[in-house]
Amino acid sequence: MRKKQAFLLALPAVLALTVFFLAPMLYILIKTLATNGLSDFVRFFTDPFYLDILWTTVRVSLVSTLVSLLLGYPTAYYMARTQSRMKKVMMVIILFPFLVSAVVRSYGWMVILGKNGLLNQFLLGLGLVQKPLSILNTETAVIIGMIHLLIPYMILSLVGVLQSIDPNVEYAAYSLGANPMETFCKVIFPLSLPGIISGCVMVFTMSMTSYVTPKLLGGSKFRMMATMVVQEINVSFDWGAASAISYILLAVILLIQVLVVLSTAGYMKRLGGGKNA
Amino acid sequence: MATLELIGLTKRFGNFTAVDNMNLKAADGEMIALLGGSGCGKTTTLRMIAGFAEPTEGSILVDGADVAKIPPYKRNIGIFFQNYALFPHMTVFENVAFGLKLQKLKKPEIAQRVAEILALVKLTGLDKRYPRELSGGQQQRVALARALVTRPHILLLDEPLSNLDAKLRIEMQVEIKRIQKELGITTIIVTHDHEEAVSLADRVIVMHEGKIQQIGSPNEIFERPCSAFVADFMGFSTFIQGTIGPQEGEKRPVSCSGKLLYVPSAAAEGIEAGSPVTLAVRSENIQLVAEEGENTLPGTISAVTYKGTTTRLEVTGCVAETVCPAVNEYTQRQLGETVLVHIPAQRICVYKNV
Amino acid sequence: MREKRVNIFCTIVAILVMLFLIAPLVVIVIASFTPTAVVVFPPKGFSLKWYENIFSSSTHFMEGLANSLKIGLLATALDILLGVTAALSVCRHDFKGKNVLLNYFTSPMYVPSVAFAFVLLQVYSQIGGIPGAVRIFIGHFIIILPYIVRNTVSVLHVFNWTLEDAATSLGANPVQVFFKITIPVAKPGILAGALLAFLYSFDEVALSSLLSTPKFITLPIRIMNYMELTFDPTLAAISTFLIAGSLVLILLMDKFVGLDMFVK
Repeated sequence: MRKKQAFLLALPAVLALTVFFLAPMLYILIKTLATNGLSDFVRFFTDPFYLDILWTTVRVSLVSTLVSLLLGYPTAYYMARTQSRMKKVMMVIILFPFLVSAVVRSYGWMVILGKNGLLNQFLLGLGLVQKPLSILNTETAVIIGMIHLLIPYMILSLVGVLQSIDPNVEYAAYSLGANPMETFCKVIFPLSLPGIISGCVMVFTMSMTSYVTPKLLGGSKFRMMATMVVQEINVSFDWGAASAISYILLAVILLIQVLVVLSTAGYMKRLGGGKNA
Repeated sequence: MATLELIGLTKRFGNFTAVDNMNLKAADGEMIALLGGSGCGKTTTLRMIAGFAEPTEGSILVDGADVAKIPPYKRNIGIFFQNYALFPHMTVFENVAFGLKLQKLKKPEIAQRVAEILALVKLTGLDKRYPRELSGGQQQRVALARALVTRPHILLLDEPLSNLDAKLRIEMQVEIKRIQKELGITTIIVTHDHEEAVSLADRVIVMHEGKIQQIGSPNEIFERPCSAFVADFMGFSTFIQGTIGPQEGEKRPVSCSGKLLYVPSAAAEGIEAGSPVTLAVRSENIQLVAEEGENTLPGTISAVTYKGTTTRLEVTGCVAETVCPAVNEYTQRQLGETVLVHIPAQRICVYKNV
Repeated sequence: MREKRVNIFCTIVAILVMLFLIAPLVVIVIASFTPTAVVVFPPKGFSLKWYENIFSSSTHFMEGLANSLKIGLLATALDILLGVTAALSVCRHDFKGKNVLLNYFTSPMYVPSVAFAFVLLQVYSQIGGIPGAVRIFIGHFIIILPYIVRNTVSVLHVFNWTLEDAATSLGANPVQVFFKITIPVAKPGILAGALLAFLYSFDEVALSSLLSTPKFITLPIRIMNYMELTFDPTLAAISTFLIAGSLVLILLMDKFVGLDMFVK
């Protein structure tokens, strides 16, 4: 009877996902393979143009993830350990842009980084540069926008884990003679690994698939995988290429997920949580 | 109220038998304790009575009628859960009134019944608080009030005192007993604490691995456990292996590591001479004496634990096993001191080794 | 004392990150009130004229807003039903394959929305004649489902199931237990998930831009289209409008659910 209940509860969502999600995904994949065979996939991996786009996407995502982690970790640590009212304010600041459309946030960076933007007005005004810097429509602008978009996810993921580490564990390490650096490296860091991993996977994945930020901040010549799909559809009308890029992007993301889960399963189990796995 | 009868009650999970052919009859208004360690089947029994688990075999009768077909929400059984299970999104009043609202009682009657029961558990005035704003003891009283307010036929208490500190525990023991007697409600209490069981219940059932080990009055269970296992569970501290001899008058000798201890014949009825036996004694029944006599053994103190009203000693060298007297003398006992231990024959329980 | 230095380092980084996060939003709000077409600092005066633009029919912003709200609210409402039942099925019962099922429920999260949008586009073009609103709605209600499932599961994960037994023993039948105990206790997770799901749909661009038809365009697409033609503070005005909306939502969320719901 209990099994039947679970089945009935799961049924609506399973049906919806199967009809509107899984079936179309599989159908189009099979159709692409049936009509053009692997030729579109082969073209992707042999054409330096496409490989360059894949590499750009991975590079931007890696840099964004790394910077988000380096800036996000101390921020999250501070938030997890502070008792002050600052924490509430910081939570709002972090959640706030997190709830504001990527279009709006990219627009903000366009106003700041543009040729006549605030940053250039500021630098020219101080005489630090002779002619305006071109930051907008470069990879740098995309990475800045990307970090701005995704660092809240990293921080929230880290705060969760750091909050759950008993501060007494830290004091125990101190009492056993570990200095702050050793305490961090040998106790705090290993215990926060689940949060680091889930945060990094989340930021990396979202960056790999992001569309708005590269489109608005990267300009027309800057291409990442997601913008390339749309360009193939709307500009080149090359649906075969668009299909290939879509499924390759999907495959890369699934591969990363599987690799991370497999390589960290043992460690997660040892920590006893496993909730982030 | 009601009588409760369990007939051949059995619960199996796959190959594992959690409750094995359990038989029990609880009289109207009786308070019965199911006592046992974790995994002994006591909680599973409780869940079957409540209707949360279906028996694999056997039946449960309330007032003589089988309740197998009655869904749990129609059984009218009050349950006190181990972690209270208070509804966190409801106030004390709403928690207690929950069952009454479901019975579609009128508002004034609900208010009156809730007020009465809150007075009974001494919580008057706290009805607008949320559970998280209450202390552990107060939460517990709310849980008790909630279980009682619907006037259930049977009350089930799952480890009612395990989350409380020592002082509160004693207070609540008295309170639960008082309320139970006042309402005359048939009650089953599940616990792993033998002191809780003997101080609350009219009858105690000791369970182990799904089977009933012993049923008896608190006094019987406490003083005369039926097996070495039950004795250990009831807090007996000293266990001595030996070989029993033939009857000599009212007594029988037991040779333990070369020493002779006498036990009453009545305590060793039906055990053939020459059988290996286990002798069990409670700490508070073992004394230190000045002069040698029957059942006195010399030994050396190897550990002293001060316990406030008594001091618990471990004495080695008497027999192969350590003997643990609890003394309440003022004299300080020293480690390594040689003492004479007296184990009164009347206080020894004898079990034939299997 | 050395412990303090670590904290000072963390504090400084935290403050810098906060400034970094808030800066573009502050810039947008200030820009929306400048009278000049190019944003300059300090602003030369104060003007509300850009706000008039967002209500004028030539920008189609209000029409886009209505479309976005319709899709977002409908998709969220449907997904609360689907997501909560789905979360219950994997949390309340222990069975083989329950993790597989949970992964299935959250799988749309791992699929790039561009890829899913393109797949839908191809299917739609084969079937033909599907109105724009439906095209976008199907895509949205699938990609936001994981947010509701995940947040509900995170609450049910720590749900004390004895509460259901307690309610049952007090005479509540399964339906009453569900609506009086399970749902109210899980409410913070459901609300947090619903909020994230709604905002995801409301702000979604990749999927909507591929699937929209000239007759049915959502607000973010309208804003991006406008941006390609004109780059004036009208964009700042509509952005400020949306920021204000988010601020209201977050304050409501704090009041009714608490912001800790978002810490995972």
